[in-house]
Amino acid sequence: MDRSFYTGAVGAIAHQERLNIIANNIANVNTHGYKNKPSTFSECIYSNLNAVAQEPTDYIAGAGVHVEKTNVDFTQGHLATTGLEYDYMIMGDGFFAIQNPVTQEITYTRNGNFMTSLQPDGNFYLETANGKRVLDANQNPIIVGTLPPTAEGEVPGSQEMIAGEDLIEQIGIYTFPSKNGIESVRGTEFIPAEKDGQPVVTAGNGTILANKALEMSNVNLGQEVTKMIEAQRCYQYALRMVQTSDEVETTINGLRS
Amino acid sequence: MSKGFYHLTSGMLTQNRNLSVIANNMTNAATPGFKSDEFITTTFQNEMFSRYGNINHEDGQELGTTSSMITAGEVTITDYTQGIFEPTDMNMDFAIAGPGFFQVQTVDGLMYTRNGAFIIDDEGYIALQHAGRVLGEDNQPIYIGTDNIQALDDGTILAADGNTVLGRLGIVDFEDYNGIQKSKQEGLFTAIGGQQPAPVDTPIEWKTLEKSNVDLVKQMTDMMASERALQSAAQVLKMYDQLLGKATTEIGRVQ
Repeated sequence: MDRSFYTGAVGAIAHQERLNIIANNIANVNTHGYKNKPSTFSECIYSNLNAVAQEPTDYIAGAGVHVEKTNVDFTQGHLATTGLEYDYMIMGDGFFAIQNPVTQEITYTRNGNFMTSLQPDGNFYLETANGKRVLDANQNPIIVGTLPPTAEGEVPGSQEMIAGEDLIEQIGIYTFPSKNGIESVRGTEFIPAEKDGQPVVTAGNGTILANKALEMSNVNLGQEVTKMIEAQRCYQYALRMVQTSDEVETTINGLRS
Repeated sequence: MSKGFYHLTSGMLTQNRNLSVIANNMTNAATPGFKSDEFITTTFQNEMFSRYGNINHEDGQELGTTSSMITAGEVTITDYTQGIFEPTDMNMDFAIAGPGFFQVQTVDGLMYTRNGAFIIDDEGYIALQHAGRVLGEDNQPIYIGTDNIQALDDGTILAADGNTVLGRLGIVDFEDYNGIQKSKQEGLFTAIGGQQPAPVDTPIEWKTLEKSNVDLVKQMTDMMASERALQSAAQVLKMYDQLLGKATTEIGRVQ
């Protein structure tokens, strides 16, 4: 088969991948704390059309396109007032640190939708919806209240829980020297790359927490729909190339029928 | 065998290669900094006809020349027209507003590019992914440490406070664009023939990428013309085949 066939196919695959990324962005237009992920293309390797591979000639053709990288756009989203006691939004730079109690793995997020949860040790911890514990500035889980011990058969008394706004000074906000390599996992959680440096606690520096509010998704719907139309058209063109190449093959095949 | 066979075959082969170049252009219609290629065909020089004698097989008697219609691909040339700008919100995206190239220090030497979608590499320098570090105007890599930078439109990179100068992007341009060609590596150009570029003061757009300069209408029409040329050549080739078939099977058959 000719090169043009494969170049067209590679291009179609790349644009399909781009459509997947854009579709994910559009689907998350209402997810709190979601950050838009723009993707960039890059060309594929060029090779000689009629010469030995290492020879420098002017007679070369490329092999299509591939998705080079998907960045994360950390522009601040808008504030949405929810009125829930343990909802927080970071106004400025920084992330919440959340820890998986079983694997001890720490990830970072901008989604401040937290709740209290009673654990077997009798403490109420501040946790996310999927059970990860929010960490304070010293990377320890935050205890919101304790269940008072009860004697056998006695109804437990009401427990003292720290109010949402009083927890603000306890919740740890972390920033990174560089955000270029941060990858997103599981929706709104982030894992830093080696080159981003160690997490640093921000104290002040223009970063404050708002209580009873959440950060909205920063996806710009108009932009994403425009990119979707562009990706769709490019996909069609790439497939048109595959079709043309196929017709050429049919012609060549029909030379001696 | 008839000359026509080879003429037509080389024509079909050339159109096939033309389609490869067009295919690459079309699939890269959305790649930042991409410059579209054009496939140029030439003909061989006029071919000399000569006849070798029956007795003396050494010298041929020249009868005259005939124009050869064999089309062979010669070069693919690149079109360096400026593409349109696409604003992104990424700190590390740059575009050159005018003629010029960024310099990239790769493992294979110094290369040039229009693709300004930069990243920070593992040591904190500005780099182009899978290529190498971007050089500043002093021909040294620019250390930034954090991607929290600001940039002015002359290419100066400032730290987050807006005052500390971290470096300045080096833009260079070539006098003769025939002296550069696309390297085998994605999106990069190499200087051939030892031409040295000169630094220029072209302004830079920050948080912008230059889109591909592929004109899809031209590529589509070129693709259709190429395909039809190939199919026409194939048709004539079929006729040749029938002709030769008759000559070899029917003429002189003993009934």
